[in-house]
Amino acid sequence: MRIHAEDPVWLNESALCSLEELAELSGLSQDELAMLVENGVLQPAPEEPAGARVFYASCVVQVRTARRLRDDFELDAAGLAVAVNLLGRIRELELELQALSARHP
Amino acid sequence: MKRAGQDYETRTEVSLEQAYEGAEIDVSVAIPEYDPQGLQHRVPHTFRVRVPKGLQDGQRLRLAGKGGRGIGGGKNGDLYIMMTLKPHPLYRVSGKDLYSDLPLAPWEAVLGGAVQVPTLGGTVELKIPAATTAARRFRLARRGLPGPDGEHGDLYAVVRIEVPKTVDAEERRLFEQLAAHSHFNPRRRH
Repeated sequence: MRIHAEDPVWLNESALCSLEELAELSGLSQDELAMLVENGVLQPAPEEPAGARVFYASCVVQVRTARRLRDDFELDAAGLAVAVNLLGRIRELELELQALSARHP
Repeated sequence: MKRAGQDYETRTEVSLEQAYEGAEIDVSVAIPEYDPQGLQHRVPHTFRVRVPKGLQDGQRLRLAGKGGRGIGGGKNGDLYIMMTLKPHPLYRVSGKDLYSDLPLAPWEAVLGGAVQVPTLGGTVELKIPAATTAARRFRLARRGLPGPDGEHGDLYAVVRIEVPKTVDAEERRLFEQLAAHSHFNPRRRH
């Protein structure tokens, strides 16, 4: 079997992407993404000048989840914001639980 | 008709050693493709990916154009890979910090001494002070996982006092002698 050596894009804080790229990668419209920014679900990279729509590449994961939720549950913008925020909170709690079980097995 | 290929997601496990040192790993995935008759087949592909030092649990990466093939000249989809840290027999992960158990014999805990502690960067010697109690944590600075900023977390060795399951006649005699001599009562409230 052929093995393809790849140079991947890591979806973390080491790379940035634009609103247009987020729209292309997620399948959400720019309006829907703007709504997620307005609702505080999606946050522009802090080191960018105010008003610039540049995001960490880690946001790709969030927006792809948002698109799946929109498609699977036909959520509107407000519902989408609640669902994505709750999923983020679950992830935070999972990490906290993991940290606690490491300390107190 | 022109149609973009589908995106696919897969998950792969990375060992703590690989996350500590950085590594190259092969990720195998079967991606559905259509033959000229329009029948779907799962075609195996293997991608070699460089895992950077300090990989975090749940970290994702994107391989552009490595997902499903586009139809009629449409763009290929992407492949997303989620990397999770494989549970380790010795270390538990808490962010960049690691926790491991440090089993001590009762006499080591009472008398203190030097013990060898395994770390991801090699074995280190740890001085155990006399009268070390169970659950006491020893911090081995910068012996944890590297973070994205290159700074290492710490390794905490948590004391567990173990008792031999069987003792020979001489050991029993010595323990009986200790029991007769000692005034220590762990159930007395201080």
